[in-house]
Amino acid sequence: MAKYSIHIEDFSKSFGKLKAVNNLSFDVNEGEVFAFLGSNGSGKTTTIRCLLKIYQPDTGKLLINNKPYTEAFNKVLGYLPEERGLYRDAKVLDILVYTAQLRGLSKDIALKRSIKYLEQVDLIEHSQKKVSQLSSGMQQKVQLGTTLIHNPEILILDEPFKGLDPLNRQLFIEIFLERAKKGTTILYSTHVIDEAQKMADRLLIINKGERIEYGSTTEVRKKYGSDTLVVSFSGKRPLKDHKMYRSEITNSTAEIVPKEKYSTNEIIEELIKGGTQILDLKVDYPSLNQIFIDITKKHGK
Amino acid sequence: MESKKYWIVAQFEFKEIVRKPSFWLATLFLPLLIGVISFITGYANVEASKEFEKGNTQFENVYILDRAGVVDEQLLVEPYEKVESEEEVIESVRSESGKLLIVIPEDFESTYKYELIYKKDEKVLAGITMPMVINGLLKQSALTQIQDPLKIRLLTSDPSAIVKSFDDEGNLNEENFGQYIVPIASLVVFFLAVFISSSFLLQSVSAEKENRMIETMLSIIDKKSLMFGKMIGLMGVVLVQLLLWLALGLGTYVLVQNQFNLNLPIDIGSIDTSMVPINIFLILSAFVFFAAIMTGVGAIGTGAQDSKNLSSIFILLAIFPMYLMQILITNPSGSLSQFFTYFPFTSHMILLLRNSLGAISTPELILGLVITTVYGVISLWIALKLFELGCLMYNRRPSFREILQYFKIGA
Repeated sequence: MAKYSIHIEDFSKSFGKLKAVNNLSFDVNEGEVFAFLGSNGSGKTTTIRCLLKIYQPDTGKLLINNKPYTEAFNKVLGYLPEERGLYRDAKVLDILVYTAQLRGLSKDIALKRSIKYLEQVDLIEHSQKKVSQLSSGMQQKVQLGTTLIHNPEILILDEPFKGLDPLNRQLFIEIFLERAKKGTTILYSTHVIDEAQKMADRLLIINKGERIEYGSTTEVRKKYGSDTLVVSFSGKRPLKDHKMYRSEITNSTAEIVPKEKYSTNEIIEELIKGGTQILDLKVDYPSLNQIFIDITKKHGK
Repeated sequence: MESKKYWIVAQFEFKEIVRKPSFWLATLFLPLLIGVISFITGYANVEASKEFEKGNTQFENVYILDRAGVVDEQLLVEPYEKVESEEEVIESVRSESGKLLIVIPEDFESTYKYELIYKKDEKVLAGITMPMVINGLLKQSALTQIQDPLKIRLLTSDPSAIVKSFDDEGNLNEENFGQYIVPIASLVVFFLAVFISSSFLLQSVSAEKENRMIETMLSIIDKKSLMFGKMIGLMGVVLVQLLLWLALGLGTYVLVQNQFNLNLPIDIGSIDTSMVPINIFLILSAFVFFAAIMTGVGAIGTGAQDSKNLSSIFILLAIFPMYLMQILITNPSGSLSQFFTYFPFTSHMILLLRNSLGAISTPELILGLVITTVYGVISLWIALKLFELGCLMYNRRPSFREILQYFKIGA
């Protein structure tokens, strides 16, 4: 499989007086999974649309394998837009075959690939149904099919997990990781940070169109400290904002960041004293989720 | 490769519309509906005129008080009855429905008005039907004064005209209905191709935007190919409709002819086909022009309904000459006609009409064809720009300022 990379340098884009992206630079290396993180309206979709020439950039270079995007890339590139939808009255199989043919596949191959994909995502029995007859999750699978049907070597996914239930989210992750293993370069934007930590080799966090963090997942996490407590607990929940720590709680797991001057031991003692029963404990780097929340708060959404 | 993409889009659009039951229902139902309405209207007119000829009225008694002496008494058979004064019958007219009093005043010659008096109820509407009956009676009375059968015929029916005209070679030819077959057919095809097909395109583009498929499509195919592919596909849809209607029309004609042994009242040999190539060109360029407009409108509207509302402005502009058709036909080279010949939204139809009637000079026709081509190119450019600007603007319409700015500098 040929390798594809993305290079974005000094890219800016405004809509009227609104500066959507300001002087952004980053690289997505060949065959890596790259997470493009930012809150809603931070400029992720604008960057992707400019990379694909759906919008024209004001300034900067946006290159795929050192070339600006052209129609020719559509044979090797799969794009899943954030704003997605399908022809509601068209049949599932027809849509897949149609988009595959537009990607340059012959009708026979398009049909074979479409059937194979529908089997992979358990939709084969719905192949002759109209899109409007499918559930939203099923429609998302068909939508992903239009992106993957031509076995692209570079995938650009804008909020790929938007609106998915946990089961389908897991299925999508598996599909992406399988593609990544085969050498596909993947750039995906998201504000669902947990997946980024699981999937991404490297990441970029932007806020208000400006680069905030950029590097490998571990590098970025290291940068934000190595004394975060990840605690599985029962009994009393740790406080969200304590004089000794701040915490983010998901179900019965708390991610606790010590405040200055307080050690992890002091915090553990304080938790036990306060009635929290600690079931499991590890000291780790802060999660991307925690970093993202901190950054967004610090820079203002 | 790009031309292949047009065809893939065209085939998909064509298949998606043609496989819908609603398409077949509309295609087959429309001529049936027109046929049924025409039959009912024709039947009702025939029945009404029969009743009128018989002199039948909704009234048991029609009293005529003729102070001007204009009614021939010999024509007054039941239910008509001559009376000498209003008092004789006014009470029964006041109290009973089904009785009508006509008062023709002494000064009828100067006023040219008569009175019609009756008791109103839900069974009779004398104001609508009876003036026709009474006017007929007055005309019949006047005709009895004339002895000359030709004069009577001239006053009761219009003679037929045998129209002859010299062609460009100086040959005198007799004009007949066959010569109007191509102009009429051209106008019908024009309306179907332009308005039905372009409305399909409007639906297609606005639905694509509304259901958010557009961005996926634009990552696979360029805007031009998508737009032109749709136009070609929908042209195919209209062609299928036209062929079906033609087959239905011919089939019905053959069926009726076999059943009732009717002869075609048209001299096939007299059908003038010389204007067909230019008419086809005008229909195609009108299709391109209006299809481009509908694409642009579909792209900037917030959804199907919004786009439909916006498009009605352009449809109204396009059909405006229909309201002036009588003036345009009676004076096809007049200043009004000249204006509409070169006005973007009407030029195709007026050129088609003037060309069909042979009411346009060759230089004017050439200028018209050049202008419609230019309009087509400009409309395609504008449509493409609007499509680029509006297709990714979800739930909002670009402002006029945004459109102008985009035309100047791009996105």
